[in-house]
Amino acid sequence: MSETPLLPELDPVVHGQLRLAVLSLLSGADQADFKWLRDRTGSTDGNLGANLAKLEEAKYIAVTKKFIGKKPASIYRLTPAGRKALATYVASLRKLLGAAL
Amino acid sequence: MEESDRSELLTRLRLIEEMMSEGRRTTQRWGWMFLLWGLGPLAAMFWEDRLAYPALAWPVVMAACVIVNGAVLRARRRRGEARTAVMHAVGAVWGSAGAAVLLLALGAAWSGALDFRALCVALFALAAVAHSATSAILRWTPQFLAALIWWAAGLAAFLVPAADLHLLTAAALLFGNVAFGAWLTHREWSRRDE
Repeated sequence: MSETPLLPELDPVVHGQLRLAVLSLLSGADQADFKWLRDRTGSTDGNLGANLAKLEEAKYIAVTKKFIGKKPASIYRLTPAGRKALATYVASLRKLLGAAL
Repeated sequence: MEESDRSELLTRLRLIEEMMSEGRRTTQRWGWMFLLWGLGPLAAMFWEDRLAYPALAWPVVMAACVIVNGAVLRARRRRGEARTAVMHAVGAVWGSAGAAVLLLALGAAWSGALDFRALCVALFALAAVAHSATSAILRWTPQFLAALIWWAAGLAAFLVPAADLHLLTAAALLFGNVAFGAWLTHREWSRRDE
């Protein structure tokens, strides 16, 4: 009897395409504001806001609110938990793809 | 695993790589700042030497440079930005060097405790250190050439006759900041769509 290799589960919070894009962008940049993330991902304000909220809820990103001039701005950064989740997700992806070969 | 699943996972992996690279990419342009802080002092020197109210030359021109600098940075922040750890380090170097230049220039002008030659050596060395540290952080040789120009100017400031110190300062600004800034600006604009 052949053993089925144990395939890793993919974190559903990270797996969402827009959330994955945001986590990857923030892993390259130290911090980024909402507009920059929206422009880079090509998403709408509402969609991005909802996905950022999910990432924040999972404590994968942290947000700092501040004012630039008189306008409020949200600055996002990856938390250590978010960095670890992304690394685990990439390792799982590679493992799954390796198993599929 | 089905082919469609595999294709989906490969798409995710490519997305991660592209976005990580995008996040690390410094798309901001800085050439204008070297042009501003090269042409500004040159304009102040020209005004002090050739125009009316020479005592106002440095305070007025430097204040104008600070206002333009701040306005451009503020407009950039409004457009949305990301900040990498490398950019943070480079910003810290120039912020610290700028504060030291301000302290030396204002302190020397106010107290008269520092003669012009010593002030030139100190300011040129500070510019050289900032260019050199940036070059080391970015691992970017062209900026080290700008640092060499400022170090050479610092060394020359010990040696040239006092009457030539203004000429030396103008040359250092022209080659160390204006020429470097013009080249960097041209490079940034020619690569803006990459």
